[in-house]
Amino acid sequence: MTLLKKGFRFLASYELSIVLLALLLVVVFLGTVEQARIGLYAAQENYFYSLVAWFPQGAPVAAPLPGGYLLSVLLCVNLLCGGVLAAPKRWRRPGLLIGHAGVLMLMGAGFVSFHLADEGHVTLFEGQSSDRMVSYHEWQLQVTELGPEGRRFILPQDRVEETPPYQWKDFTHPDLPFTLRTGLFLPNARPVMDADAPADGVALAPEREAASRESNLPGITLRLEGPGASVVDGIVWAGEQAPWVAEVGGRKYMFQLARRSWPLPFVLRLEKFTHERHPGTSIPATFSSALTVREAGAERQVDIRMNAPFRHRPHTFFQASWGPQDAREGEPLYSVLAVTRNPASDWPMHASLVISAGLLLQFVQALLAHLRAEAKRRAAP
Amino acid sequence: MFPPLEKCRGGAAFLAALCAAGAACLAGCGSGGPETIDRVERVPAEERIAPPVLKTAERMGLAAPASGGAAAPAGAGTPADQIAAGMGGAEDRGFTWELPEGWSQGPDSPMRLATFLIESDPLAECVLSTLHGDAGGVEANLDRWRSQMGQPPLTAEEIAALPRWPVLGADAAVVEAAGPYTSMGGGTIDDALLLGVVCPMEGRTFFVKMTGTRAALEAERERFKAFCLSLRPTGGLAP
Repeated sequence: MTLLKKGFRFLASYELSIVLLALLLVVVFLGTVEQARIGLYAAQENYFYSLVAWFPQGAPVAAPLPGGYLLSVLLCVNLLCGGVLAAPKRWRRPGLLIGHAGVLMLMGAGFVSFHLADEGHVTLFEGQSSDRMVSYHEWQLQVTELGPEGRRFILPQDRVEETPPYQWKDFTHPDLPFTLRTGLFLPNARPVMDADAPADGVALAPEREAASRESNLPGITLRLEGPGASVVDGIVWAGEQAPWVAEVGGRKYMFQLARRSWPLPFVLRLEKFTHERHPGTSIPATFSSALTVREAGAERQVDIRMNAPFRHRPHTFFQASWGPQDAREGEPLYSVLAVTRNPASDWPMHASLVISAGLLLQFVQALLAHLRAEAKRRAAP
Repeated sequence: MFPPLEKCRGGAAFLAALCAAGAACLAGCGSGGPETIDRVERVPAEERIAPPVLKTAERMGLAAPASGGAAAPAGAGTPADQIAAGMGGAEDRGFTWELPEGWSQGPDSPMRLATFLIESDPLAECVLSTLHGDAGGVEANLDRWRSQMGQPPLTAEEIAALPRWPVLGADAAVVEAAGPYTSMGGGTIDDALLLGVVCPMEGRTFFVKMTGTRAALEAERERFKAFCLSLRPTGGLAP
């Protein structure tokens, strides 16, 4: 237990807090500076979402640094150990304990957002409707049953992208007559003729990933193992002209990579898009979208403007952009609404209230104690 | 900020529990065996398309042109680039046409030979495109278009009874469907009309497809026909 006690003492120490905060400062600074060189998403992945960050990223010789994710987890553990578990439980002065609990709640919100929040967009021309949000840069592998039942089996990118080279990852579903084996997922690829490739002599070659992640065209190798040990090989690529159609067990299935999408619990219809520019310039002054929200048979009108989002828990819609940017007067425009779906979207507000309440309690109690002490001192002969 | 550790009781026990939980998580990871696909969605009727069944090289835009030439060299770019290259570049789209009044040519788009915008309807567009081979067959493509309008497939008798126009020297089937339109990109028009022509030629199939709101496109029927009949090959796409 001595070793565990020492370990706990280390995790709860002020010294660890100071070192972690200093490292976090360095990592945030480097990540922000590097963003201009390697792009937003590459910087986020390397510096903020990682256990180990490499600086400079992509260089032949790079120095390892603790990543933002690792530092945040350690800071959270440090706060939990030092600020809550090891804190004196003086119930007559609970302010600091409440304040620390609020900070932990704030970090918990970040953790939940990182792992569970989704980001995407809804893009609509005037008169168009949609009940889906589409990811900017994530993909999903879709297996669509071609038949009267019309079912679509979906594997998000994060479930198929971790397969090591020359290995398969197997997926099954009771209603699919085959085992779907996914091979190497290439984040950016192009098709090439290769006489040895099992998919009709076509293979996927890796391409350098674009700084703008939206520009990547991923691809993946697939193998279907059906009844009677039958094997069908194929590839799907985000830039293909038509999906892969294969017949297994007498039924046809369509395989394709599509932008990852999520259903919305309502239908959005863009009634009118308005934008104004600063006089004599092409710089946008303001733009807004007038929408009809159709949900459970009821309709209501909402306006989304710059800095005035529409919130429908857990979704938040922001006016992000519009296009085409070179459209002439009178040509149809589309509105791009950025969407976040975050189950913890309200947590930071609640955490702030908890922290405020804790600090207020602490300061008021300290003030009253001080006033009482002063009064006693003055009353003393 | 933090109090003296001597006042903490049970900290070591907490740490031991944390280590045990971490070890349990690690032990649970990496277990072999197939994983289950846990997300299944019902595909709306209007999205139940029957795509053309193509060879992998054709799907990827690597297929040899109808003349049987070599595949595109590595690094030739996207399929759109390769199509454009096969057509002799962006300026030579392989066709000439007479643009009807009120129509204008829209911006270039991947996988399309040309896009036309209709003045009377901002949601309307007319698209000219091509695929190698029979692109899955005339019937499959007609049904695919109808499915985008929420319409059931045509029977063989109904297909045989479709009107035919002489387009690009072929006897091209003309399809018309009304209903809620869902494009391949997911956009929708509630009350839409689709006018389409599938034109099978030697080694490839051409498509002319116009979609938009029904009210506007009702008035564009004759212009659509005139446009289709005005299409002439220039040689850039000739097999």
